[in-house]
Amino acid sequence: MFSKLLVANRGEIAVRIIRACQELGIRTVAVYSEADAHALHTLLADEAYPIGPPPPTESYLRGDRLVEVALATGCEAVHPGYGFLAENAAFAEAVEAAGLTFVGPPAEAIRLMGDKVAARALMARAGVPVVPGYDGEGEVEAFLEAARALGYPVLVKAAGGGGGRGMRVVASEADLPAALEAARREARSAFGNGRVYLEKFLERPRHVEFQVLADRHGHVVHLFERECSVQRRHQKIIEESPSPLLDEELRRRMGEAAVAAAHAVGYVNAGTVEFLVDAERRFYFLEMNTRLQVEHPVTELVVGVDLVKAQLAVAAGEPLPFAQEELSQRGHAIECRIYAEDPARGFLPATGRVARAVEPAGPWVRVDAGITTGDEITYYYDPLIAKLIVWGESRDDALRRMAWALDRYILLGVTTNIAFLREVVRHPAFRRGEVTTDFVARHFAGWQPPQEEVPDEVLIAAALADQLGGASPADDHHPANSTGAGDPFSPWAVADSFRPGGR
Amino acid sequence: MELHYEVNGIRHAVRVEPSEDGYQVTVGDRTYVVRARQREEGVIDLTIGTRRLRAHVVAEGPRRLVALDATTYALERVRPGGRRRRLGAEHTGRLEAQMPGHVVAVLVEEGQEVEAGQTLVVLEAMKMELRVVAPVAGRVRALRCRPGDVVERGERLVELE
Repeated sequence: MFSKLLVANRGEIAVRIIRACQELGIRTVAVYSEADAHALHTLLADEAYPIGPPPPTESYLRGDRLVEVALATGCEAVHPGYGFLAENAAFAEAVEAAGLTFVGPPAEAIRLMGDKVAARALMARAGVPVVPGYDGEGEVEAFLEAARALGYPVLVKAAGGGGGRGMRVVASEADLPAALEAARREARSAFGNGRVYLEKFLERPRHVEFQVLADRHGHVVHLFERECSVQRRHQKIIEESPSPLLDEELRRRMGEAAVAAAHAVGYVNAGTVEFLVDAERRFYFLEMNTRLQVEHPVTELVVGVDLVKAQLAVAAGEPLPFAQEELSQRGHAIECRIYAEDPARGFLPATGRVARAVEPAGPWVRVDAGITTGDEITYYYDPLIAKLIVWGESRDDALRRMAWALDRYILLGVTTNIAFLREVVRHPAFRRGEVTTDFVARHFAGWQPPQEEVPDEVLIAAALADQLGGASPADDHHPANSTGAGDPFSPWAVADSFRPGGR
Repeated sequence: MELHYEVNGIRHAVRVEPSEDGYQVTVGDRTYVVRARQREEGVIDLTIGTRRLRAHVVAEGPRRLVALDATTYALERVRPGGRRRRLGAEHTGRLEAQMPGHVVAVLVEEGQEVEAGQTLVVLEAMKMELRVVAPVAGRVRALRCRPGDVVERGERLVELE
């Protein structure tokens, strides 16, 4: 096993990786941008080094600097987390070329799966079903002909895209030429690759993905599925395992397809094969994520495997400690992503300072957070505050526990999606497991937070906090405070030289 | 002592009088016997009649954020008889950045004729891609951004005529 590792990420996933390393006795090196100088991950690691200004292109995406820090601090391995450079083949190569171990798949597997057109072709050859589509490089006429054969609506997707980016729904033939042109132009500037392809648009599909784990000795297993259908803006907000949709037979077939997909690209380490499942329960390969997923904890809780530790073991050359038939799902796990965003305004990201964060705690309640009281949420990075994950003996049990935990998650100072999530987990359709990728649009279009009459207890609490001087003052430097005068009532406002708990 | 708070445009007066073993608090025409204990900064335990509660209270300027019973409330402390400061209307124009982020691509040129619904600028922030589209057909009078620019919410990106 490694003795020292660089964590090339930030936020909750950096914290998650550092914790796993601490348990294994691996010393950790964190890196941070100027915006993250006081972030939790920098405090938990054994060492932390600045790598540049806040924009990711000048810090967390500077692979050269990350390798430099890893070498200078005597690290043996680099864990990329998710996002940033996790699926960057050139970075994986640079890490290995420097004599370090990349905790992830071989660069070639990343490259193959990163090209969505190449991945589709490879999967089709490996016998994994793909969404019917057109991957050709022909002119507009060829696309028109292919779309006619597929039937409208169709999706125009960017070969260099993925995760819902660079994707357009085209409803009729008249709109296709313009959509192709626009998609090509956007793909060229956004991904540096103007290639686009067509996929049949599946009506109300479900998004079910399989976790795979492969070692360097040719063993591949899957750790069952995660249902990720509750999405907004094509990004997941609630994930669970097992999927309420799958039966044993479909689970077995999809698991085998996931393992076949991993074998086909010579996969090593943890990865995820994403499928769409249509109304007739046919499944199609969507893409493979060649990294640890945000939602990996739900798998950990139902399968009983620590995926980050497994990643480290596999990267160190150890064989998988279990065979497929030794793995099983037990109970039910659900994850809610707690985002700084406004569900009432199209889920637009929110920024600000977290004036107070109080996480729920209890049996089978897990919080993976990278943000704590006093942290600033900026627009430079993903607005994920934390992941709240619960386990229950059954789906109903897990849902009740999630509702309980959401009710006890306190986040003051920034707009979050907690009130929205509370309603989703109590929604009858969600409780019945009827979730498709359009769930939010179908059941929560135009959602507004409940406008409740303010109870007397709240006014009493505010008044007594003011009376006792006990309302915790937010940072005076926050822009929200700098626009007007500070609190004219607060004893803190005049105590410039004395601020309890201040920095 | 009387304190005033505004919530959703409605003003509430709260009178707090110290009493023998705590406070007598009057909200509107309702009076409560309250005992309060500040457990730590921003955490206040209350006994109101026979009910026991824990509230989290944060002050941000005149704003008071209160978390109680799974709900968060935003109050604004106001002076008795005073007027609340009003913030300017929020920008909602579709040619403005609806969120802070950076400009990924500018897909039109100055002087170019555009159609309604045509994508003019692609923004990205926090893994989200946002297209700024023309609300009506027209001609691009001026471009106010370039690829790579960091823009703030409400910043005007394109001028159409």
